[in-house]
Amino acid sequence: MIITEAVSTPSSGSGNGLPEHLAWAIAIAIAFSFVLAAIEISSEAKKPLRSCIVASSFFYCCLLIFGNVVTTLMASILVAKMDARLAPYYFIFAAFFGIFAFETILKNTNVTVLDKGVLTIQIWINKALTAAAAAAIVRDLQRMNIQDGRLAQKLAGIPEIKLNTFVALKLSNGAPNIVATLDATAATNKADPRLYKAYAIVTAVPRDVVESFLSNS
Amino acid sequence: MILTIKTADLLKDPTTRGVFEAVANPRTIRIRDLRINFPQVDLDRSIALLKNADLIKVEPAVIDDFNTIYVTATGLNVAQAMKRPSIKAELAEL
Repeated sequence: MIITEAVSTPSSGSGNGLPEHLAWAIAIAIAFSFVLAAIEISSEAKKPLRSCIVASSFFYCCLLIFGNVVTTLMASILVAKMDARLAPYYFIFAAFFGIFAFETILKNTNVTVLDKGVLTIQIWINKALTAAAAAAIVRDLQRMNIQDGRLAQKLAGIPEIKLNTFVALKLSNGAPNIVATLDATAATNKADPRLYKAYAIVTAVPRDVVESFLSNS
Repeated sequence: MILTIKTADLLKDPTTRGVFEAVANPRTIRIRDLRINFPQVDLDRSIALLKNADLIKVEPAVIDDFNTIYVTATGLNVAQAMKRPSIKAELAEL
């Protein structure tokens, strides 16, 4: 392996500390890529981390891992030229400089020839990130819908008179006949009026308010 | 990303641009909250235009006012592009 040979040469002055730790350097780069991907997707989507576990995030993660591992391997060649007394820590330096190089230089690289992108790493990564963030936004909505469904089922189980009171109190703003309107719409759509009103509540009222109402009912 | 002519034309309209920003900044928003922020505006028209341009999508709820609008991947790219000083200045001049 070229890198192993390069770092093992006596002229490097490193001894053979790096080859032993190269796997650790790569492991650090991979672990850091996961952390970085999680932070970036979550912050771009402005959604909790739980919603960011989607297929598109995996592709973005793969891109980061590939870039960080390649630059870590490149950095390991340079690190081998450092003082031999630092040999036990070569893997940390290789991972640090590799990740630094990818995050600061390669990630911001756009090489174009005659206005045609040749090596537009920044654009590839941005596209992967926005795709992952958009998928996380949709996933978050789906999660919310599932939670709303569960809450609506619970709410539909309470006596109708209580449910109507809650609907009238929370949804009557601008719609004084809201209970009658929702009942009529449910009937038109051959839907369960209690469940329909319960869904109306959970989509309109903050979750903690509904849960507190349920716990008191 | 550079804005396409179609998108730039759409965002020339300050109302549509404002509605788009109101959706893109928090990523998701309920129509009711948009109506509070834009009381004097034909929201349905702006939403339809942004939906046609694939910048936003609407997740329906039992009551229309509580439909959730969310930004798409294209919308996120456009929102990023709009933060660039050159595009920001250009859109502000229009």
